[in-house]
Amino acid sequence: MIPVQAYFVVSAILFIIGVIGAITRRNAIVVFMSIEMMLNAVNLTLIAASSYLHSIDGVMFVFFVMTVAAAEAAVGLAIFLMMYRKKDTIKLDEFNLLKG
Amino acid sequence: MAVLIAKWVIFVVTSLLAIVSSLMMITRRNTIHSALFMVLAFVASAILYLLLGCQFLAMIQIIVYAGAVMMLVIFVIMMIDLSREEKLKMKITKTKVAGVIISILFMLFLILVMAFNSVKGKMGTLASIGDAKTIGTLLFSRFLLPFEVASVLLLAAMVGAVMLSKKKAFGGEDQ
Repeated sequence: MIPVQAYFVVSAILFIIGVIGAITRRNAIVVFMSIEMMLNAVNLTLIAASSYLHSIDGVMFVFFVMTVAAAEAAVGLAIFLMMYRKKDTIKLDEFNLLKG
Repeated sequence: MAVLIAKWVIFVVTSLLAIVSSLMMITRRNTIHSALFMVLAFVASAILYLLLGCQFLAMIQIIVYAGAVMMLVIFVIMMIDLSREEKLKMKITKTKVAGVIISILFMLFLILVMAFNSVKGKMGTLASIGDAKTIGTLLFSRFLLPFEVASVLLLAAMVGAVMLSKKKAFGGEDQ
């Protein structure tokens, strides 16, 4: 039996890689993919805990996280298309409309 | 014994694959390459789910993430001219450096806390968490309300995506 802590360590590393990608890259699509990677790392943690505790709750949570991620992907990519139509780029530095 | 060694080998190889491909994903300049490394990382996570005995979610992961979501991402990449973004040099600012250092420290703390503590929680009674029958039965009994809410959420997302990506908004104004 592989200890559950090993899975936790892997998902911590994946989560932090996602965080670093989201704060350092300037291409909106890569930032979006980094956020998906963070969601994926959380899913791995939940499934590892669920499997270790023989409980179904974590698996159900992952199911709904995946639903939300799919919805987010559809709306987010549509927003990127709209941003591109408006400014001809998806560089995130260009989008500071709410700065005031 | 042999099974345990095989499991460890699979675990180490797939974890390294996931970590390396997600690192490649955030460092490649070409966005299509990033997306393809992302698919690789998702497939590696699906193998980890299988190793944990969760077959149903592993299949869902491959179908939804590595299939549908990445398909959408690649379509959008192909619709957008990214040549200027790809020539972009990394701009290193103080906030980015601070953010990276803080997140690496956070990772070290997470690993320290999680590696040397046991998991506490109420033990369940299920023998297998992965089969579609258990999950389906629960989805239509205990989790019926969240299931219906999720379907409404998907409908809303679909309508929102169509509305946002339409060329003209209501009244003929350009979006």
